[in-house]
Amino acid sequence: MNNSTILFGVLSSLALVSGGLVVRSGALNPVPAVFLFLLVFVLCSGLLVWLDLDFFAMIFLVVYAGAMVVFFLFVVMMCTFRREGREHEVAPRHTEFVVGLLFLSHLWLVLERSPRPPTPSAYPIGEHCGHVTSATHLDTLGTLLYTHVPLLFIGSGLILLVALLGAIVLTVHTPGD
Amino acid sequence: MTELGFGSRLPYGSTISPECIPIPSSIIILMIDSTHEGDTYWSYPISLTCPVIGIMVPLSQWREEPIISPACGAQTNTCDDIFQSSILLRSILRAPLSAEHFQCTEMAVTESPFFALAATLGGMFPRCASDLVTISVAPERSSLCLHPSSGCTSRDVRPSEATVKYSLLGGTSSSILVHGFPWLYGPPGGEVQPWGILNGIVESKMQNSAGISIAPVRIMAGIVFKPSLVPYHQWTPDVYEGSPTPVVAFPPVTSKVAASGLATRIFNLLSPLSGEWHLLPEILAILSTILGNLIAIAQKSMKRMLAYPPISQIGYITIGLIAGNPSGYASMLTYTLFHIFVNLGALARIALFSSRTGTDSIRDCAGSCGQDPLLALRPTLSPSPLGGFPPLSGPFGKPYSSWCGRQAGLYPLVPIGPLTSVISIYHHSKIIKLLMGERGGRKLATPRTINKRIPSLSSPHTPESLIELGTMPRVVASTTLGLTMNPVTTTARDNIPNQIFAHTATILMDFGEMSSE
Repeated sequence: MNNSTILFGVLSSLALVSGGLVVRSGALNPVPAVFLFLLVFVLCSGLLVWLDLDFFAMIFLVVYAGAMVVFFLFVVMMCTFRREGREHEVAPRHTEFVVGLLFLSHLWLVLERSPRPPTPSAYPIGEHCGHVTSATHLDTLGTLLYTHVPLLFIGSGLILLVALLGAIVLTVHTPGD
Repeated sequence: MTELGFGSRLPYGSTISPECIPIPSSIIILMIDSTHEGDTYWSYPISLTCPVIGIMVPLSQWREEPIISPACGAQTNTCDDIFQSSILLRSILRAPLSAEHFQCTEMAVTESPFFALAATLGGMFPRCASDLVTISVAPERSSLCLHPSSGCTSRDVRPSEATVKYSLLGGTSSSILVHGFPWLYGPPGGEVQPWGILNGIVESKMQNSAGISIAPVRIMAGIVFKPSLVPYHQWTPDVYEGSPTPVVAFPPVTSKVAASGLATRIFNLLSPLSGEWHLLPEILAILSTILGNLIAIAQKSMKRMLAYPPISQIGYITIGLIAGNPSGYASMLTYTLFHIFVNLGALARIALFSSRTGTDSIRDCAGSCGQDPLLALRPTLSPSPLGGFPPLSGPFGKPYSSWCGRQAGLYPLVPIGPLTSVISIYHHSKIIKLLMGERGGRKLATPRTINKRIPSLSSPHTPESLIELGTMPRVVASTTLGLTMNPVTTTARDNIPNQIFAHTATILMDFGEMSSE
C-alpha cells in the first residue's frame, strides 16, 4: 500500500464519516451540521486534488464553500434552535484583529507588490495565459486571479463577505429582540 | 496619459485606485468593530472619509482620453468618472444623516456603514466593466449590498419585509439578466469583450439570427429593474416605506446611478446589434414618466409619494441614454446629478417634517401651515422632484432631456416632458392646498426638537445638529441647482469623449456593409 492509497483512504473515509455525522447532528443542532458539511466539501476537494483535478477542486470549494454555505447560514439563522443553557462567553477579541490585519496585508501585497502584468492590448484577459507553455492549472489560475484581475477577485470576495454578513444581520434581530 | 495624485502611487495606475479605497476601509470598520466594545460611533467618520478621498482621486486625474487599465481590463473614460463621482457624492451625503439616525435610535449597527461602503464600491464597479463577465456581475455587486442595507437599519417588521421583497425581485431580475449574456457569448465564437463580440457577429454573419435578437430583450429586461423603470418599479415604494426616513434614499438612488452608469456600457454594446433596440427603452421611459407621476397622486403616505418621482425621473434619464450622443449623455449626467440632490433634499425635509408631526400620512398634515408656517414650507418645497415651479431644481432638467430626444429623432418622447410636468404641478398644488387649508390634522408635536436640540449647531456631535448639517447642503442644492443648469450641462458635454460614440459608428458602418452585401 503506497502513500497515495493511504491518502485516498484517509480522505474518503473522513468524508464518509463527516457525511454521516451531518445527518446525525443535523437533527439536534444545525450549526455543527453546517460545519461538518463544509468539512465534507473540503475533503472532497482534497480527493479531487489527489486525482490531479486541481481546477475542479478549486471550483468545488469556491462554489460550494462559498455560495452554498451562505445559503446554509441563512437557513441556520432562520431556524430557532435551543442554545442549551450556554451563555455567550466573551471570546478573546484579538483573533479578529489578527485575521483582519492578515487580510489587509494580503490586499496590500496583491495590489502593491505583485508583478505588474505586461501592457496589454484591447483584450487583456487571458491573452498572456496562452503563451505559457508549461504551467499547472493552479499556476495559470493564480496568475490570472492575482496578476490580471486582482480587483475583481477581491471584489468577488467582498460579495461573499457581504452575503455572509447580510444573512446574519437580516436574521439576527428576532421579534423578541 | 498623465498620472497625478494619490492614484499614481498604486502600480496598476490611476484607473482602479478609487475602487481600492473602500475595500480596506470596510475591512477596517469590521476589524475595529469586532475588537472594540461599546460605542461604534467612530465608524461613521471612516465611512465619510473614504468617499471624500475617493471623490478626490477621479477629480485629481481628470483626463481627456479613455484609458485601459492593465488590471481587470478596466476601460474608463470621463463619463464613467462622472458617474463614479456621483456615487461617491451620494455616499458622502448619506453619512451624517445615518449617523444621526443610529445615534437617536441607539441601534449602533456597524454593518450599516459597511454595507454602505460595499454598495458604494459596487456602484463604482460598472466603471471597470469592460467584458461580459464583469458587466453581468457589476450590478449584483451593488444590489446585493443594498438589499441588507435597507433592512438592517431598524428592528421593525416593515424593513425586513421590504428587504425580502427587494432581494427576491432583485434575484429574479438578475437571473433574467444573466440568461441574456450567453446569447452574446456563443454566436460570435466565445468572445467576452464588447468590441470582440460585435466583430465576431459581423464576421459570422449572425446579426439577423434569432439568438442575437433575444439577447437585447433579456438584458434590457434584467437591467431595467435596477433603476426601477415602470414594469419593475414595485420595489421602490416598499423600500421607501420600510426604511427609516433619514436613510431611506440610499438604496434606490445608488441603484439608479449605478444602473445608469452600467447602461451606458450595455447600450453601447446593444445599439449596433439592432436598429430597433431603442423601441423597448423608449416605451419603458414613456410608461415610467407618465405612471410615476400618476401613481404619486394616489399615495397617502408622504414617503410612498416621494418614491414615485424618482421613477418618473429615471424616464428622463433614459431619454438621454437612448439619444446616444454627447448631448444625450450630458443630459443624462446632469439629470442624474439633479436627481441625487433633489431626492435627498426632499427626503431630508420630509425627515425633519415627520419628526415634528410624528406621521408620514399626507392627510394628517392638513392645515399645519396655521400652526407653524416655516415647518409647512418644508414639504411645500419638497415635492420639487415631482416637478414643482421653476425656481426649484425639479423642472430644470426636463426641457433639456426633451430637446435631446428631439435632436435624436425620438419624437414620441418629446411631448412627455411637458405633459407630465402639468400632472406634477397639479399634484404639487394639491399638497400646498392641503397644507395651507383648514386645520384638521393632528396637533404638532411639542417643539422639543426646535427649542432644545436642533439649534445646537455649535456642538457638532449632537445628533440633531448632524441632521441639520446634512440637510443644509441638500436643501440649498435642491432648490438652487437648477439655476446652474447651463454650466453643468456644458461641462458635462465638453467632457464626454467622442470615442465611445465613434466606436459604435464604426461598427454600425460594418453592419451596414454586411447587410448591403
